[in-house]
Amino acid sequence: MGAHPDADRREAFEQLFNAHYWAVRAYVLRRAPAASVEDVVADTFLVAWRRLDSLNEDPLPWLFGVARRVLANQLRAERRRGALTTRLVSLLPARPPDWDPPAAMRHELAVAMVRLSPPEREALLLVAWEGLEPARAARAVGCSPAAFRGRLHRARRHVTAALADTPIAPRPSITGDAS
Amino acid sequence: MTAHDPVITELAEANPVSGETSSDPGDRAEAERIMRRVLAGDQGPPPQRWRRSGLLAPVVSVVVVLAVAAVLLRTGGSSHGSPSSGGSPTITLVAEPTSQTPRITSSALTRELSLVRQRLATVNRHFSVTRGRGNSLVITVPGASAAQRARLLALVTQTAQLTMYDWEANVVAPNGRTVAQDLRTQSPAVIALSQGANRGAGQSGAGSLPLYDAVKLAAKQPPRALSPSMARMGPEYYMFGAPSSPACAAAAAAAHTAPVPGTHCLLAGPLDLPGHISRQRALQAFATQLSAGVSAAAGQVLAVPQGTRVLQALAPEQVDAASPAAQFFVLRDDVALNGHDIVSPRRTADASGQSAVSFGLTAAGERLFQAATRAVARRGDEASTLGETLDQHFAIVLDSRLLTVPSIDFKQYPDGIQTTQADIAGGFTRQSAGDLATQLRYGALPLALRVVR
Repeated sequence: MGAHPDADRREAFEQLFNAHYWAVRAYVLRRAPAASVEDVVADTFLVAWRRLDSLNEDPLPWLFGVARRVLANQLRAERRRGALTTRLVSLLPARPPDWDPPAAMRHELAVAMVRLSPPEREALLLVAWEGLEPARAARAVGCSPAAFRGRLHRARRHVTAALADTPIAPRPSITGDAS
Repeated sequence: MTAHDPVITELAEANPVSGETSSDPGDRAEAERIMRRVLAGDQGPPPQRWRRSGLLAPVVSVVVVLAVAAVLLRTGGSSHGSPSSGGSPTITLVAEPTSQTPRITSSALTRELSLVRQRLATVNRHFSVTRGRGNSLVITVPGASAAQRARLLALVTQTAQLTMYDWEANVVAPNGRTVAQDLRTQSPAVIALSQGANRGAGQSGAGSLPLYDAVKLAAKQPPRALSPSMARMGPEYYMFGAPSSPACAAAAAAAHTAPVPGTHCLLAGPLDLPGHISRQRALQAFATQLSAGVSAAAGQVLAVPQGTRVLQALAPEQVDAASPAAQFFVLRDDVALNGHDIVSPRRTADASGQSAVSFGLTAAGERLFQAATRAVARRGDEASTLGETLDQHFAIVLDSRLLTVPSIDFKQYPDGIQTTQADIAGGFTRQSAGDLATQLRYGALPLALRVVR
């Protein structure tokens, strides 16, 4: 790769970086341990730098897709390294889930989300957290908009069904005795 | 299809990270570092942290897993530690002035003693308290378990300022405006704060924020002129450390906890300082609160101006305010009623026999309560459209913690609640109703108490 990129190319990259860095960083921060974030974001933009000439006018969904694959590669690498770890983990009382819900998420929703398949979970999160419309979210996961809508529908149905089984505690209300 | 989908809305509210541009110096330095890394050429050394040595990584992982396994085996797989023994049968506390009682007088100490005695009785009737030397109080707790000691210390060290607010008129949305101001927009953030996102208004996760984000939002509110309806006087200062900073690591080590990656940590505060002061002066004031190894220069100082409060959210289980799991709301400080407006709170039962909490109102309290609930009810009526009811709420706050945020049925009380006795019902267990009644009964301690032994 060119060690001395020309000024135009560098300027184009800086524009891309400045426009989308915080969104990409937030995407990674929502899904990866903080210690990995800098490296995953750097690798994502490294791919963007290499493919700069082929990016379209709305590169953010594509950047999310790259970040997702970088994260998946990281996870696979960790798993390969952790063969012995895996055997030891299997001795522990409970196997950890493959997704950590945020602390602010209520328990019932967190359980429902953990039970989703990773593609269904990602579909919901791209819409809810990244704020993408289904057509753009489809580009982030590399499928057709119709396929994404189907996946999103199934994910919502599974979560809604799981939450419907959860009794909702009555909420307090305030009243007055007749005076 | 998704804008008002309840699953999407609730997920959006639990979003742990804002995607907005950060002004944090640490975050900006990271961005510049990444930019340089990419532009410096993609033939550089592989990133250090996640392409770890193929030899060392399994070793580290095994050590971690063995450590976790050892902990789990020791605790029998439970996250709860075993209770420790009770310790000394006496606890000595020293009384200190507060803004309400700037001088320690004999009568203030006598009232303090009486209120502490009432509070102790809610834990164990055999606990007693007497005046000690100087301004100290000595509590005798024969045979107290560690849990009982912790509970009574929490009880007696709260100065317990009880305040009540019109929730929607005071709770501040991320855009800096109150929910009541933007209720017509029905934006997801506003609806979550008002209607509670399947949990209830005021609950953790229903539009709540981590402490740093809440203080940052509160700090952007304009200072308001002092008025009698404010619970707090003057600004309140906080000092935070940047995510993954040495200051956060040192503070966590001093507290025997682990720093939480990716989040700001509270280094010191909240601190009441008179008027607006310079950053230098704030740093000096914080210096005495900082843990060993933490430099004041490493901290980011944020000031919550007079007229704004940061309050801890309700949660299914009580969370310490300093815990990273604690969530907060920002409120304008326009109090509708104070603790002295209510009398004789007690646990009771509603018409269906479910546990509830009842409290009486003084003559002044009755007028204030009706005025406040009338405003709440009328707003609920105006905001509700055909087929959709947006009940509005009334928040009860003890010190800096929400106790309950009950709704008011505007159809039943279109002109507010005119009563000498109010009842809060719904979702209480016998224990939680009793706890709330006790908390409402506290009354404000005139003096602060600090444990010395």
